[in-house]
Amino acid sequence: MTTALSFHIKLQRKDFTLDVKADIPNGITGIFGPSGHGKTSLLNSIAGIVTPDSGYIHLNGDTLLDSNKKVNVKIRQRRVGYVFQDERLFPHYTIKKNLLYGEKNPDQDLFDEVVDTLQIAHLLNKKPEQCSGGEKQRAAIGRAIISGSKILLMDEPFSALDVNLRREIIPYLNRVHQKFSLPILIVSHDLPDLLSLTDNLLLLKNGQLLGHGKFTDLLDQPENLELMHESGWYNVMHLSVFAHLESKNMVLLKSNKSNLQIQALTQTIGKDVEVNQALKVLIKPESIALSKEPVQNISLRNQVGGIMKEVFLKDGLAFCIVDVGENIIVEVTEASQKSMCLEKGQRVYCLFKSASLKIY
Amino acid sequence: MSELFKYTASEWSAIQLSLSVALICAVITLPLAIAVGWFLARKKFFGKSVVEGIIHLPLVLPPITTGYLLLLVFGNRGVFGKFFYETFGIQIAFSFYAAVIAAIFVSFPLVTRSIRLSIELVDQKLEEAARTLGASNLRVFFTITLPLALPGVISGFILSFARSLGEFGATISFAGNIEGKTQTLPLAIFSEMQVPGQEASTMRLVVVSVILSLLAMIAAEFLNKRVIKSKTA
Repeated sequence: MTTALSFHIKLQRKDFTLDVKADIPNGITGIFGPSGHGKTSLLNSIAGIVTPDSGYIHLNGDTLLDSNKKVNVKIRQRRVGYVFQDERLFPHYTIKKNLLYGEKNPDQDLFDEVVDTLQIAHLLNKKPEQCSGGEKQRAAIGRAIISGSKILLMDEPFSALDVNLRREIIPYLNRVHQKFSLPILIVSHDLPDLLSLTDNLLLLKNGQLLGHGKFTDLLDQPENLELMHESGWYNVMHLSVFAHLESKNMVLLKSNKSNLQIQALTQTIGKDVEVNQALKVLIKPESIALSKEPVQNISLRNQVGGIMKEVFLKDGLAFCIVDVGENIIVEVTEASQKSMCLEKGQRVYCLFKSASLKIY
Repeated sequence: MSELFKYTASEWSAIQLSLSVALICAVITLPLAIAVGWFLARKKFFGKSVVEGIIHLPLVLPPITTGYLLLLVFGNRGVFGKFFYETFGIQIAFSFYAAVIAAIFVSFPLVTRSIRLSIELVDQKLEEAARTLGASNLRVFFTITLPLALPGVISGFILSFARSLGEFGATISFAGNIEGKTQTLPLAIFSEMQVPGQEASTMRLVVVSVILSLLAMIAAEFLNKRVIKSKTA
């Protein structure tokens, strides 16, 4: 995947130092870390709201900042679309005027496509205060796209929304990325929300980069594991619809890269999904049980075989990384791990209910 | 009773002069107060408290002192007064200009305070958002800050107008009390009060003064409500 954004940002603030260097690919990248560890400062530096002490920022080949060459492009010239945590729609303008604020005469096709993709046509003549939280968030995303942004920065876009509205906004973000080919950098301290959008993560702790890469690859480091475990995490599997098992009211999902296949409830996915449609399947590590043998006569619909890659022990828990075609993490108690003698290199079976899956 | 409605030429002149001074003062003061109010609301600089103190000084100074200081600066021998007199042949002190300048100085801190407070209430995050959308500082000011601070700006304009209508001390010491030239409503009332038997004339001017001030306040309230309504509609 090509690099959309590369940066090295150094910022000193009283008792806090931000020092992060990364190359961001052309897709959706999640910035994850605890609150107050520099995520928003990083976004603000990229947007130009905060000026780093030193470093560089290159966006699609353009230099936005280079402290050595004394280049610091002004906020208004950076063409960085920033969707803030609190939307920041202008309260005295209608949604339509908000959308057109950054670009008064946008390409009509683009305007129509944004309005259509985000389903905000019915809001155009309303004032922001007449819209719900999810509607305002969508309008703010639309405003950033129409202003001609080359990248979308999103700061905690879910934090102000309740659980239902969060689920509502996630498909829109996926659609925005697919339709407008915009790289999206999304900050959150909520790992499950981030993982529902992307598994390409940038982990930040104390202003430093802890890791950058695929979620499953990041699991190899105990420090990353600890950070992500604190937030409540999910395994993410990229699967496609293989067949509708209508008599069982189930859908069979398969990986395109390995032999991994699982069954999910039809009502979790929806009846109208088509064969070959790509889906993201999420499951909590604590919702998976381990067995050394296939188990007969059991109500669980999914028994996935794999090889134990690593076992980490912490606070009475054992975090087992199992290669089932993709790396997944399974959380069991240390007592179970010891009594079952679970070790690296063993063949194990991951058991889980179809109902425990979240599918996007 | 009918005497209460028979306004003399000099009384009409005082009313007209008062309205002219108040209107010109409000129109001149407003842009200055918006600029200074924005600067004080948005900028941090060394000596800000001193600058704020100087701007607000006319609020607490006895108006007669303000008038005297203006006379020192704008009188024919003052720094500015001498320049205007020698360069353009314009005498500022004891002229219509003096009445306007006195009104501006006295009302300026009130207007600035009103506008500054309303600008401070405008969420700076909205201005930040506008900048990320490509807006220049000037565009941010005219499309975000000023419209959102409009109630304070309108209040400031009316305050300036109303305060000018009531200005007395600074005007009498700097502009004098010249009928038809610098004698505004309060000065005319004062003059009539000095003469025995002029109770009816005094009352006529008092009534006009009360009505004008009341209308200004009602207009301020009305405009304020309209602005708030249009923002939330």
